[in-house]
Amino acid sequence: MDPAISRPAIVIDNGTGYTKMGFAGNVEPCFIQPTVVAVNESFVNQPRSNVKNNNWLAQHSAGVMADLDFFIGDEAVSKARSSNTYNLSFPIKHGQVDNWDAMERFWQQCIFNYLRCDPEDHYFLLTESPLTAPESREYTGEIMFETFNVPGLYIAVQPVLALAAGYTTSKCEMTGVVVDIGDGATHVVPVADGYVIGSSIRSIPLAGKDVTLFIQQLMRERGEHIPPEDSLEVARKIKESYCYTCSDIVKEYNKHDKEPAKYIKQWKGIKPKTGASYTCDVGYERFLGPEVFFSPEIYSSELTSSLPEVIDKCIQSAPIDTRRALYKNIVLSGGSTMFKDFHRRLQRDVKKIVDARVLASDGRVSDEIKAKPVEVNVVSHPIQRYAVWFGGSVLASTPEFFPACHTKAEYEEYGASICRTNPVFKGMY
Amino acid sequence: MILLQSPSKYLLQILSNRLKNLEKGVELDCQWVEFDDVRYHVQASMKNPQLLLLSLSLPTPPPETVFIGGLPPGAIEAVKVAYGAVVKIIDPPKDGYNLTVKLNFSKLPPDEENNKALLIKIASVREVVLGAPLRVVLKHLGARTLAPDVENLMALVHRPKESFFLVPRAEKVTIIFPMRFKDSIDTVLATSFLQEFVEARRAAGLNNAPSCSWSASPPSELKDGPAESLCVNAGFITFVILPRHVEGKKLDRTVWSLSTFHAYVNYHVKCSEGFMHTRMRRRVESLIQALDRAKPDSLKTKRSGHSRSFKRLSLKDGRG
Repeated sequence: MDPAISRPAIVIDNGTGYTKMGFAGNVEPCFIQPTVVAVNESFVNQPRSNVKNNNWLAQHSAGVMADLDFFIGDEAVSKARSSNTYNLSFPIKHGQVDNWDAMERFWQQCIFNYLRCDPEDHYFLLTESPLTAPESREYTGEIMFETFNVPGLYIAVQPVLALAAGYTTSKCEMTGVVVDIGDGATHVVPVADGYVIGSSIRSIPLAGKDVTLFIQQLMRERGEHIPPEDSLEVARKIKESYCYTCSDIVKEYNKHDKEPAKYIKQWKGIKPKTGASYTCDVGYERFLGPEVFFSPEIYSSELTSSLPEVIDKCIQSAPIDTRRALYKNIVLSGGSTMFKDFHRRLQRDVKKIVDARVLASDGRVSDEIKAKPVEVNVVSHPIQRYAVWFGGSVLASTPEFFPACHTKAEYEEYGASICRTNPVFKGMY
Repeated sequence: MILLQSPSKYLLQILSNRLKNLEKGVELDCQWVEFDDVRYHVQASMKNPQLLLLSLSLPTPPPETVFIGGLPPGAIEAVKVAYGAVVKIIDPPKDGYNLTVKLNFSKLPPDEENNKALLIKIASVREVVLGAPLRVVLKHLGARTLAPDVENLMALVHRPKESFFLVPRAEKVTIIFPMRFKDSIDTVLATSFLQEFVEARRAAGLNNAPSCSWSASPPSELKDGPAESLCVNAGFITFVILPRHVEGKKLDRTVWSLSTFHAYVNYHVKCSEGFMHTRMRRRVESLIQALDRAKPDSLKTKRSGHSRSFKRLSLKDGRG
């Protein structure tokens, strides 16, 4: 028997903003790190040709060192801030891998520096967004099998894993709509019995990053004194620690105006250049930030349909026999659904749309026939932030996981094209 | 990152998080595996937030290696010396593990500095336990003596069912690593890496480093070693450690670097594969660019011809 099967599989969920990595079977990922690589590029563009004499060795070893001279995650952010020799690069953009060199380096550090495992010893479960091209899966497979020699690889679709996060022995609902709002992409993905209904996937160009930008814009317009080089970071921190969802904007404005002391928070920071401390007020942006999902017109004039409408449209475009089950199980995942009361507001708004439709259809037919009310349920759980990772951890610890993986032997026999499809396996339904 | 670090990042994170929120200690139960099949299991309960159970399982030893009670010789003493009152060894260990210790946070030193140092030391538990026998030998080398009841050729486990060999003498210790790799490409890369490694040692700046040599056939010291340990696919590498390499603080570093030498080579082999891929990708890109440039003009115009249909009619065109 392959000894790798006796060891826990490694689950890495690479998101646009944060990467969650850990071992299958655990409740929490070992590390949640920003998906960012700081590379020292001062050696790369050096002229090589004219130096023929003795110091080739010095140059050569400098080049070799430069290859290893990079950092990922929080370390990368702090290195790039403290010195000018490192450039930050974000390997994933809008949920898709953009820079494969950086991605490969990122994985390398994840495996050897953070998880400290030997990749030859473990099966790997990686994740991808539902809109990823098969070519990108091939690339992933190539890197994993060629560079890291992994014994087996499975590339799972993020929303399916988010559904699996609710997996318990008593009930396992693999039908539902996953509302995945990450840092770089928002997808509404209907899943029926573990299969993604590809034609009904909706995405909105509005995600966590936009909330951050919106908050930054609001604060700038109000004239808060935040050093410009720090303002995005401050906006992100404010978003993560103070934002909440309100039930009604106008009422919320009134509340803030009546009791500013209760609602307006203070943010304290230190200027990175001078080291002097500063404070700024956090006011309406606390509820206006998350509000962009419900009334996107306040952020951008091009977007008109709100998140609840998009969810409703998505379910309406799904096969008719799945719709009731889909309304019943709307699952949130991703860091940007963590705002307080987000699921309540979403449930109320979707319910409103559905009820209006039922009422209208009731009015059209005679009084004897009444439609059975549609149950709308938005599920939220405490591990929402890394629901995808947790689902991966659950699935990868079932015995059915290992036979569903692509193995190194298969890769060597058929090539990278095997990674194009990843079978839905028993543990999923 | 060039060298692997001795403290386990995850264990250190668990310990320091736990220490920060000692009052609201949550239920904790997690396990993970590090390179060379070292497994960890951490358990903590809500009832006794001060206590934390840490279990460690070591790679399966090959027959030539001596293990006493499931641990390398000297490991228990090493744990006691390194951690003192903070750690209590539980006998027998948890099922499936070689060592279980109970950590008591209330016995940590009060000041921040020592506290942190001790946590890092606990996170390096692997170095303390697996490196114990090597440490004893090197310590004697530092004092230029020979440990009592020491054999002519010692075998120490470093990977599952694989060991490396020590020839201890009073004035020097010779250490021989039989190098094996699973993948054929890895083997080739590792062989040239090791040859380059020996070459690099000759550079002027490294005069004080331990001398090392590589050979495809077993060195003479291993003549009477066990037969199965002599079949390798990436040769043998030999280090000679002198007393000056184990003075004072250097001892810890030497023990760690030696006992994880295979993992170090493996890491760099994987890195170089990665860099080769990076370069190959860059080359493919530049070739594609060259191909694009070489396209005959007719093809290029065909493309731009498409966009012509969207060209706005100017006033002149309209009249003409």
